Amino acid sequence: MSNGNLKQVVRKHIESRSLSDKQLTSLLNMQKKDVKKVKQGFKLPERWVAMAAVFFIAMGNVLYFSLSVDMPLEQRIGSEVAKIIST
Amino acid sequence: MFNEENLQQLYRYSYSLTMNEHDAYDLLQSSLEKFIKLDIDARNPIAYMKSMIHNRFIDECRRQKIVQFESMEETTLPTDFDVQTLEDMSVNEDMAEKMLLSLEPDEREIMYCWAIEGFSTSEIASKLEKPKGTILSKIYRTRKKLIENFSESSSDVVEAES
Repeated sequence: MSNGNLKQVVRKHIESRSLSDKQLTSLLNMQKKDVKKVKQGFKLPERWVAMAAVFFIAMGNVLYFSLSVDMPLEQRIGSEVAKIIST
Repeated sequence: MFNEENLQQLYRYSYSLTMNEHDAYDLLQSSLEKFIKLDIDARNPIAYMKSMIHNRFIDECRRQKIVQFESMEETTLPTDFDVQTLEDMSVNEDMAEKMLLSLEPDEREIMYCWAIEGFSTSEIASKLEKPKGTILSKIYRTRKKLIENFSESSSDVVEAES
């Protein structure tokens, strides 16, 4: 039985503990998986939402103007805007 | 994020709190999961993870009611008392585990900061966000406990103190 300085004894005991290869691999893989999830989860929706918004705005305008051909200009684009255009 | 060396370091910190290899791994794994989920951009990820591990451990202890909360009354200490006084102690290497198990988790955390990180009393107080006096009291009680139960030269040190 050997004696030692308290600091050395505590250090030696704690540093003798380490993760097994299996545990280490599991923790490293966990980080890799989640990095992929984060990348996919945040970049794709933003792009698709922006594209969908542009598409629906454009289609909405096309539909409105195609259905309102017979209407007077005041009703079609609004009386205030019609006044500005006519002057 | 964390490489092998970082993970081993964090595991040893968890072990110093739990004193059980299985619990230390569970603690590290659950803290790492939370760290990834929160997607924190910490300036010092290791220090951040250590505080997460610490808080998670305390929460778990409170939930299981396995921590005895001591009064925060500060013991009257000798004027020249410091963490370095622990250096004088000589202990049996085979008793290391038993000795650490006899300490409270917060006392073991102080031991970890001192023995592994090499911190001074002020640095430990700053890291654990506690007054220096409280840390000194804990060190004093830890030392007394170790001397009474494990020190080879216990009689000499106890006599010198009184």
